[in-house]
Amino acid sequence: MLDNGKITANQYKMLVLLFTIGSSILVAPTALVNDAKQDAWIATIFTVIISILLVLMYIKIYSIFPNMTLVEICELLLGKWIGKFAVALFLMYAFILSGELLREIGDFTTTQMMPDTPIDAIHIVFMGVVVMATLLGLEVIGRSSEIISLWLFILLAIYFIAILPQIKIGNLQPILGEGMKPILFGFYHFISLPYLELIVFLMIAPFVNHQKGAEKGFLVGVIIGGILLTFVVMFSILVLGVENTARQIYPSYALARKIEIGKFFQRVEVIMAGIWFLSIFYKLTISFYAFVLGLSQLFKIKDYRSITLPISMMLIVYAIAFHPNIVHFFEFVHNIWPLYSLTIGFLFPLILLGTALMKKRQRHVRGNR
Amino acid sequence: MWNIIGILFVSACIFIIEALLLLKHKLWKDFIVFIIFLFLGTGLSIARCINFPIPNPIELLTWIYQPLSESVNKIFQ
Amino acid sequence: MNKRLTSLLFILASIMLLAGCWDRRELNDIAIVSALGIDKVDDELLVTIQVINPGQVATVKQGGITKAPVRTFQSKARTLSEAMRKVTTFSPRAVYSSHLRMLIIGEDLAKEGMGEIIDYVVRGKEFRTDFYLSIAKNTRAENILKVLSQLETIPAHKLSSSLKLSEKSWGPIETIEINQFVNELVYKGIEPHVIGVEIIGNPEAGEKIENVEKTKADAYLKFGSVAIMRKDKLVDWLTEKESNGLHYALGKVQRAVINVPCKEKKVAIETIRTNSKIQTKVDGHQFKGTIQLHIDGSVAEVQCERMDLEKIETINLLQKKAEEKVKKDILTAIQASQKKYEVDIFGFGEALHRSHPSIWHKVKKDWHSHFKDIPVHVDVDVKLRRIGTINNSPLHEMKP
Repeated sequence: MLDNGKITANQYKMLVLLFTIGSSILVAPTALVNDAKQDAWIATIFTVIISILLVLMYIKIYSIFPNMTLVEICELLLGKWIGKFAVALFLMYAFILSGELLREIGDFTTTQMMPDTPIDAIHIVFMGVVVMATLLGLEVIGRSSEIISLWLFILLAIYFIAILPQIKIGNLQPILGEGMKPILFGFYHFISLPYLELIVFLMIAPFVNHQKGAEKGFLVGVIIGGILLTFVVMFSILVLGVENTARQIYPSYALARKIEIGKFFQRVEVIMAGIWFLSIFYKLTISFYAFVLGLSQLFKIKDYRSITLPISMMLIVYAIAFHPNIVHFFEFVHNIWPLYSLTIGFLFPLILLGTALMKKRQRHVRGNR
Repeated sequence: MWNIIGILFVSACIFIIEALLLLKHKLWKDFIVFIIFLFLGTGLSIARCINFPIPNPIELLTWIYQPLSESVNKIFQ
Repeated sequence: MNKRLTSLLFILASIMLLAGCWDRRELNDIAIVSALGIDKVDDELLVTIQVINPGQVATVKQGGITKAPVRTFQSKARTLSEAMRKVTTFSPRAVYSSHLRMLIIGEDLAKEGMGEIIDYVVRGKEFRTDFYLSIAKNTRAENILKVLSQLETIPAHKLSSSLKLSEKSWGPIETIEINQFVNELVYKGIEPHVIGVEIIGNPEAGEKIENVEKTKADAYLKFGSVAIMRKDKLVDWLTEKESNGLHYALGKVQRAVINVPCKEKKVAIETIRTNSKIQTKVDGHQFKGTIQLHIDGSVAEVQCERMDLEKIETINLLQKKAEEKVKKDILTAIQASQKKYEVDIFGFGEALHRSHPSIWHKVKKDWHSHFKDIPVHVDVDVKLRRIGTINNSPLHEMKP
């Protein structure tokens, strides 16, 4: 164990919740509405239900090895060489995920708020806070999430209540007018971002001080996060309408722009942007932490803190290098990421689980002789 | 020009902060790994400044998954 | 001690460096655009922006008018982005569009097709969605923007406030926001319509400060007819009756007046709220459009001498007459929409989409050929709830 910190089950639940809403709360409605039109909310509910099964799989792996991170489990189950190779593949996933998240917040800020600021400046400042959080350790991340999530919920509540007067129920019609195929297409995109990305939490899980609490917290966090995302998608359709949501790059921001209560509570979209800054921050911190921790376990060094700063330099470079422009970013996230996530977030843990259960049975059989 | 000096300055700072600690505790392996990544980080940053092409894993992933993604898109369209 | 010092230095550095100075825009460096007018001249876009003159707004509010509270700047270019930037060649400040209240399109540009200006206004990060759209009737948008107005120092604010107020008090007027326009443009089952604005009086006199110094202005702006559009091209202007009928059918009317005949005079019914439902029913291979309208109203003005408001029969009669009147207006609007222009501004197509999506997918490609022949059944239900503060008019007691 390279981190002596422990987090409580409640903090774990908060982190899962924040990770789930992550960047999806800002951009998810677009892809979903493009796929499933006005039935996008049905796609989200369907995905949330399936995600429970997915998370149960993750929990099962955790329950077999409650004190080992995913990297350690992998090396144990798959042997030295295949294990290290698989770990490298997983770590590349975590690295790319972190880079995408950093790029997302940079693009959002330069598109909507500060177009003249070079995107690197935003990346460096944001990464600065992420690195600080990582260096301070999981305990700090966990404790801060409890405080921050309170503010986040207050802002979200204000967001939803303020936009409520402007909904048009007719926008949801015709319900199931497009059939099941578009809903399944929406599900395919939605499960890859954020749900399959939750595999990185198997790096964090062993540090929770209460095993049953961690298992329960994982599930509850994912479900509540899913419900919040469903609300965002539904409100986008109800207020903006199908065509307008599908066109927006940042639909939640366009939605926040519509808030107008009386003549004074208006033009508050930047305050709502605070929600997304916070949620993306936590998703990035957790992905980054998982990557750095995993890397230090792969190389068997004593403290992950030593390599954190150099890794952050690499991440800042790659956040830009991954995609030359926002269209390339979209195409990758829309077409390639679902398949990549399926490989790392579903196939990989499935193989691990299968191997673990097989080895258990072998041991059982051997033990009975 | 100044970017590169800036990057080297930041690298030097990181080196001073971390490496001396590692050497003091005689953690040789950690030190080597640290140096490797610091090198990588600095090298990549400088490469970006002079517009030197960097290996991009996205290209690799796109190459691997592109045919499958096209098939999936066809199923759903 | 050392730790404190470093953290203090850190905080100081953060305060100075994190202020976002790259994107700083000082208030006195920006020109706040309150209204934007776009015309088409010689194949280029003529952009007129009405910029607020902040110093003068304060002076005007205090009563002393020496200079105009707004200024207009103009520039011509092929694209809106280029035109907006060209303005900086003679405007001392950078253009800031987030406070836009009115977007006026010239009639010529609307006839040719206003689609080309939509993208800039939707894509730009400075443009919000709360401004109103309007088409300049019988004139160019630049002329609309030049008219100064009384009571409200900034003409664009006058326009948008009066538009919003009229929507609530006068049937034929409706506010159109960009989101609504774009939705109606894009959906195949409905066509957009936009409210028109025109100059009453002498346009040249409207530009002068004297216009606001008189009790009756030489020129002022008035909202009036509704422009019916096919996709993004202006087709024609609806008459007042047709506009009225359209808005009743769409349920956009809040407080309006229905004049009901009684002998040779009129009784004015004031609507309190309206509720409408547009549906397209399918009967075998036949489509049938239905409009169900429910109006709550009260009696506002009685001009006739012999009308006994204490009898329930009178109220029933008034209700029936109001229903007929509104139904007539709606039918006129439907006639215009279906037969005269063959443009579905009511959204019967969208109603079909909502209720029978599978059938809609078959007919949406040439909906307008289906639409022009479908029978529409209009059902208006007026309920008079109150009659004001007195029961019978003094005229009722007036002896000859």
